[in-house]
Amino acid sequence: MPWPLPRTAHLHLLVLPSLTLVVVVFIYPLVRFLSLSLFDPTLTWSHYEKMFTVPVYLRILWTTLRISFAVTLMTFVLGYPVAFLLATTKSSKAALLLPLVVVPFWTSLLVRTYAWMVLLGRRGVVNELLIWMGLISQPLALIYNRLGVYIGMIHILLPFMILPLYAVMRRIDLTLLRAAQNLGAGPVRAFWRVFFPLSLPGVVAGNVLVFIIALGFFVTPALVGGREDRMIAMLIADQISTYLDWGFAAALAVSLLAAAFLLLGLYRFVLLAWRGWARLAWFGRP
Amino acid sequence: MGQATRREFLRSSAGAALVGTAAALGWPRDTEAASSEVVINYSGGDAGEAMREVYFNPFEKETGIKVIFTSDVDFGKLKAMVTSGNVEWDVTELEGLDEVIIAAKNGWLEPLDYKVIKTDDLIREGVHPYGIALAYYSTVLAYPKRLEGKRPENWAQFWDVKKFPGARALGSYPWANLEFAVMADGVPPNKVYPIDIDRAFRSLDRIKAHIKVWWKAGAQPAQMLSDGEVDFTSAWNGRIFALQQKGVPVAIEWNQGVLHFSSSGIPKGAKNKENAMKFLAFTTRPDREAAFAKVIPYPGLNRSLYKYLDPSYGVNLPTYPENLKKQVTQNYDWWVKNREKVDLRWNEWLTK
Repeated sequence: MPWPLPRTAHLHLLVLPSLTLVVVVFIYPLVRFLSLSLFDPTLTWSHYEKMFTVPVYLRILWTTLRISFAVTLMTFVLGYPVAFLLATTKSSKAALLLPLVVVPFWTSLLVRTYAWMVLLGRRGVVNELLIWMGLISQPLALIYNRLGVYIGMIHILLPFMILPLYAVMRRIDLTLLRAAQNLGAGPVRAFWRVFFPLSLPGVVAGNVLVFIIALGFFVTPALVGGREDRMIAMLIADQISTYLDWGFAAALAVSLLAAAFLLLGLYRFVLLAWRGWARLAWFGRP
Repeated sequence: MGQATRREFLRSSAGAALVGTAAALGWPRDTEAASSEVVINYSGGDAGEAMREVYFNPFEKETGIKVIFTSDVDFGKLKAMVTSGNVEWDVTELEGLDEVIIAAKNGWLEPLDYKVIKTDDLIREGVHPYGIALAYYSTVLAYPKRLEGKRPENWAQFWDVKKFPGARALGSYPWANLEFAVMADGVPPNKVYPIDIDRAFRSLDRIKAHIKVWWKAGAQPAQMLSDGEVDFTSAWNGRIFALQQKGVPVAIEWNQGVLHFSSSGIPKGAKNKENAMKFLAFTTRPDREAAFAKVIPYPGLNRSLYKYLDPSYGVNLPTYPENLKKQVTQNYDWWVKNREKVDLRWNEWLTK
């Protein structure tokens, strides 16, 4: 390359540190992991074979995907209105509301999970309150089952849904909604035809982020789940530090990654199809 | 010209940064200092602080060997260190004797020098050619005091949900549970090993539907007992003792508890091996072990440590002679041989 470099080339150099970091701490370990799953000790399919022939492993992978999907969906349904409210109220009000979303970020995940035990247990605050109010006579099973996993995970993941949504929604010009209504659309139609499509980049970002984080969840399902709620991250950790079967751990991790890529590809495909249908031929911002 | 100078500056400072990193990573190691220090890798937290007080400081004073404490107990890391030839620890904690057995088999540990470490007063099961017991704990039956008289006193009674109604919890791991299951089915404690795996799972089938929570962390059963979430549960004795010290009315049934222990080992190729032996000899002395057990209720393997402890305190510890008699010591050899098979079956059984 000639020196001095063109102006923009200089700017490209700025990504070098972060690129180096990504290669060293992410790409390289990933490649090592992939090779470990195939070459431990010599070239072998046995780790993948074990994964696909012993039913319990596929069951755990399936449980992981199902929980992650359900949690993502529910987080989206709960998070979207919150982000909408944050983005469309006056900024002074939003400044008051935003900390409510962000504060849980600063609390340890473990502390929050144990807090759910105190709240949702057989003699927890929620059950005691409902019994005291006479709504139920026997405590409800709110925890140590799938419901507990959902509650715990949704609580932790909500900020990861709300913040990307909010970031995108804040930049949507609200006068567009008024323009749509001027042209005869009702508020519902204006929302679905104008606001929602414009918020799609945030929808994608939030859902993908939450789904990916949910796939790797570990502590919460372990502590508030039932006996069937084993997720693959727990299994991988066991293989790495208890059984030292790194080849198998790598095979599990690679399979999880592959499943995640596959699902994200599918998601993108469905989304693009939907977008085509909605006649929005753009990607990203309009 | 200006550009070039800046580039050179950048290059040289990057070089300096690299050298600094290399030093931090320990490449240019100062071998002179090696003989006067020992790197100890044990669990941190309260136990780590107690160790500084009762093990490290007095050891430094007595021998002049400086103790460098790291807190990164991880079996995977031991394997990584020894296989990559970059051994940073001189002594490391191993979570159970099973890890000692596996590590010894793979050549990741140095044999211990029992001419330096005195074994006369030590609990026999805790002494292994490649590891020595560090801390004992038990998985015991725990219950709230309000249920005294209406609570199970052994695992057969724990399994008897008609005679002893109440919400129950067990650990979500096979170890200890398999022992409990066969004892519940009538196998006497001294005949538990080798465990009849089929019999254990048949026994577990009978209790499965009655277990409300399969706990995964040691803090859970303690929390659930104090919340009233469950009435009877297996639990680690130290957690229940901690509750008792806070005044929560809970109790331990030592009968048919399963006794476990963590161990210390010396990684193969440790740089200060001699010092490590001296350190282990020092820390297994009864007075030192008693001083540690006074702060952290996980005693070591020296039987004589109870000479230095008030019995009213000693009675709460798992190796107190009275308690020791009532329990079964986990047979780690059996577990190493059967672990993979058992774990697979357990996961299959539990998630179904």
